[in-house]
Amino acid sequence: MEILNEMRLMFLSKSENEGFSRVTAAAFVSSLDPTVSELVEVKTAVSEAVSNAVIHGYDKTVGIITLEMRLFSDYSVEITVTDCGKGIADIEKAREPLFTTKSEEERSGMGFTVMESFMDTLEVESEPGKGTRVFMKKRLHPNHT
Amino acid sequence: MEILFEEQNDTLMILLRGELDHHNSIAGRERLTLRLTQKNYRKIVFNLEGLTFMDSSGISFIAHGYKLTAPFGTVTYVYTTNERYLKMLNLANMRELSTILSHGKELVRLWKF
Repeated sequence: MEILNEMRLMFLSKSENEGFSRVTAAAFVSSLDPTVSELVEVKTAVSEAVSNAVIHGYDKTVGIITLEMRLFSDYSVEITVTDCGKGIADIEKAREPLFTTKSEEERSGMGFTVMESFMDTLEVESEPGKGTRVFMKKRLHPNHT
Repeated sequence: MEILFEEQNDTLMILLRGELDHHNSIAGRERLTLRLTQKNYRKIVFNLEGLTFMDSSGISFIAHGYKLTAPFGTVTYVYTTNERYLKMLNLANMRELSTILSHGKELVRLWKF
């Protein structure tokens, strides 16, 4: 399986960059000619991962978020979102639907559930005090095949 | 994101336009709070048809409106034909589909909390 293209984008953990990162991800993956539905699912998953890094990873502090994407010849896309924030103490708990540590800020606790639902693969690695890495993969069914 | 309010008798329609993510929901939440704490309504309806994007921040935005008004007997509805938004509402366990209305050629799904 050949890598067709790859990119790395680094940006500050400002909430306005949630929109910037998902639009960039959509533009990058569009060379694989995804369906409209697939494109929106990729945008939503990236938005969730980046929002998590902004809200939970850096939690009112500013740090760097890295978005990496790789496109493959079998029409699959790999997406990695990494932060160097405070990390997640209990990943299993964090992945449960409706679980949130920010109920006072009225977060829905649905971020990982939405990522899992819209992508084929979701892996989360984290170390408290070091940061979090979210890896997602999705096989596309392009319009022209 | 733009929020428009339309009041019809004892119902408040909340029309959302543009992109609803964590960033955009911050200012929107303040406007929503201000409006919902001015008066009691029998029903509030979040109309998502004007949204071009929504992630799970939309769920917490709607839940915010619900939590503010439910103690006063207000019933919250969500109006959308978007399959992805419906999927997210479903994943969040936001109660059952209460009504399916025929609206033009589309099936309009009205969710009730």
